Amino acid sequence: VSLDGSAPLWYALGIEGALVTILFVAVLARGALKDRHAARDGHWLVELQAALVTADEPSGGVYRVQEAVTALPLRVQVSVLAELLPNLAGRQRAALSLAVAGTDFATRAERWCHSRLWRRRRRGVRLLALLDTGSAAAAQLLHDPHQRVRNQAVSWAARHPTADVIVALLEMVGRPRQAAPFLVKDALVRIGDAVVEPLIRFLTVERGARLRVGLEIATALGDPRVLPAALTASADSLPDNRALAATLAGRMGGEDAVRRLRELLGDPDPTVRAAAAGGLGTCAHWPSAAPVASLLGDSAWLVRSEAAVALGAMGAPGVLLLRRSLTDEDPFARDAAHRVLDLLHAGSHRSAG
Amino acid sequence: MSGESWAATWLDGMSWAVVVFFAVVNTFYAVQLVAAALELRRNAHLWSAEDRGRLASSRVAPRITVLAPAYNEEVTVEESVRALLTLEYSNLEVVLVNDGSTDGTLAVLQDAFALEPVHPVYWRRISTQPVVGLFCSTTHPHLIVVDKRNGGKADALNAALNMASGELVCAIDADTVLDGDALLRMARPFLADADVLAAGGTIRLANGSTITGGRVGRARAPRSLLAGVQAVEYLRAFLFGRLGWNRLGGNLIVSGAFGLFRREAVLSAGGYLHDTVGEDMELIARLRRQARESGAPDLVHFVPDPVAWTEAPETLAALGRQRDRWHRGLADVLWRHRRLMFNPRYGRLGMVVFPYFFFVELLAPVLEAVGLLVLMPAALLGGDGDSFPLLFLLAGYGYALLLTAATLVMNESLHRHYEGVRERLVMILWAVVENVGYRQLTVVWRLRGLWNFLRGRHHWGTMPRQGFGRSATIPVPREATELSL
Repeated sequence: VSLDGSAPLWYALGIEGALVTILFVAVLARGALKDRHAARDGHWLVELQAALVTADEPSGGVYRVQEAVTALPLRVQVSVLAELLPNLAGRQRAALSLAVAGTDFATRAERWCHSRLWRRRRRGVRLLALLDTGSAAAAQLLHDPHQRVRNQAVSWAARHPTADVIVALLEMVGRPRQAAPFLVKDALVRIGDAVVEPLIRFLTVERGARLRVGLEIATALGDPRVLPAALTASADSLPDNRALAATLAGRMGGEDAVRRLRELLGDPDPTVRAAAAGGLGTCAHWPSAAPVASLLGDSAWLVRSEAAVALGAMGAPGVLLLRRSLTDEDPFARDAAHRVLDLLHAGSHRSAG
Repeated sequence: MSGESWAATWLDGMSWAVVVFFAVVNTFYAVQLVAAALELRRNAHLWSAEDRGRLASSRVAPRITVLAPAYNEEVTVEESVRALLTLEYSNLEVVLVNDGSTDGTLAVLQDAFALEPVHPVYWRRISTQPVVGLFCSTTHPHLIVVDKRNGGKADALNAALNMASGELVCAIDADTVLDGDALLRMARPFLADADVLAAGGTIRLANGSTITGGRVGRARAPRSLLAGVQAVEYLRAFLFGRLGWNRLGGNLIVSGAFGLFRREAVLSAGGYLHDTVGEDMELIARLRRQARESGAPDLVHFVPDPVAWTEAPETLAALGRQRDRWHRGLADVLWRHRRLMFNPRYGRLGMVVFPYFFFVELLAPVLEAVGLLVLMPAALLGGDGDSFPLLFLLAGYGYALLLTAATLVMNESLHRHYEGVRERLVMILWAVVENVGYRQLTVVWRLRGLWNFLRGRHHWGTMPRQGFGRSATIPVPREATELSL
């Protein structure tokens, strides 16, 4: 067997040469096109921004904005709106929204939401989210078979929290295959007050990973109505959930929360003890300073550290105990106290600055 | 059999081996290119300006701690830290580790950020060289500075890991320059999927571009030959190589210059290893291996859009040492984790990714050298007018050029591309020039790395940097592995 027959290689070289030439031309052509689009889009953006500056003029300010928006090609409209709308507020945002309302964007977006193509459905719901437009079609997309469409619908849902939408969002909590966990969490936190009651029901019935995410959402919301549910969750079998419930209870404060947090200082799991100490620090419950100070000698670093930080947050009584701990027999307690006193010192410099 | 005919048969056999290797590897490259193109398209659909705003303003965004080691960086450290503190991300912490600098790095930091000493106690989950000082800033509450005895980059990163409080940690090099929105973009896979262990972003060469206020402004193609061919090489390695792996079994390397990790996963794995020159690749191999062994997900993503900039060596000696070190690092990691090889227990990691890195990345320079040494004598012994070996070599380099050209097209899809006809023409020029001389030199350097590994040499060496307007001598990180012919 020998290697011969160079003819195929000549062909291969020819094909390679042709393809390389085509690709290099493509680089230049695509690049030139992209540069041209960028320049043109930039020009349109400047025009629109100029119109927005004069938006509150009584003589046709909104009309000029609408004219500038409709002058944009469809390709540019969505991207320009995506860039501008989230960054505008007050009259300019109102003017742009009004100008957009005068176009057929919303109708077009609604139509796209019913498309058989998932990319178009996603584009439709994205446009509706940008336009801040409520839509039954968009709400339906929370149950879309395609995850990326559902993700986009979740973003839309944050601004349109009907009861059904909130139920659908809570159904997605802790179920990463349904929608991106961050988007769901973020949407529920952005909705705010309207989520609290359904969330309380959720926290009382759910367990495991779903309860954990629910507690994280409740902590970010920080609404005191969730306290009873947090106290129930503080008896959960999973240490992570008990720790989160302790953090949440600390944010709520109050007699019941403090009582439970003091019980949790003796929890067998160090993360729960640390969270309980942290919770008492968050609600600055100085009468609990002594039991928290006793954790400065805990066997777990996390607990010692959190206990010291909590004492620092309790004001003068806590700081007094930290100072006393500087001469403690236990070197770990001394270290933890020393560190937090240094941090408080640096913090006071920051405040003074 | 006469001596001459025996030699001819042997050369013929070797030639066939080279041809078969060439065919298999390049078929795999074609598959990888298609996978990379599909991934690039998917990525373009996933990201929008709206998402960026949502993440930037979210109250539930996970905390990211940037781990920044510094060694003798007094000239640039202030600007670098300010650039890190102003990255677009709402929940950010920066832990800078002064790794036993012998210059005024710490003094500059103390002065610029009004550092106050804090009693240096911390949870020492990973053992490191002693920490001699811990500081927090009275002007920037999210900045922590750790002063420790010199222990090298891996040790400094481990010290930073001990101090970090973020759910995610971003490891960078001291000289890495991040784009303002790089973290926002890089965090996306972690937000979309709880199973992602680590993610890497694109590294570009800043040689030739202007850096102002710790950020790269308009991207310019390098003008010097050596930096230019490396710029092309980096583009190909990241956009074609690593992006393709997203669909073919996951990446085995996240660049030490810019990678995002789940902190708990890294801590549980024991952090970075000190006794290897390929610590970034070793960490990924260990994370994935341990995840597989415990039945946990082992997703390691490459995200093409987040861009970090670094400086490439501009002298042959420095570049040669760098490539030598990279290849030693590769060999070391593959040797340490040799159990993965063709082990079905590790799924595609053991059956596809690891064998690829062994046969293609590690042994490629050997086969490439054999190819060059064998095909030429084969042409001489094969009789007059046999142009096959020469044509074969040309076809091989032509195919490599084809892949590079495809990468340049893909690069145009990214938000960070070279603007203007002149910049693109310069990149095309470097893509062509790269095949003449430079590729052959990299074969020599990598062979030297392999030889040095076999001799048991494990030192890092140094790289004199031109600097983004500065001059320093610092250890350099492992970077993209080279594509073989």
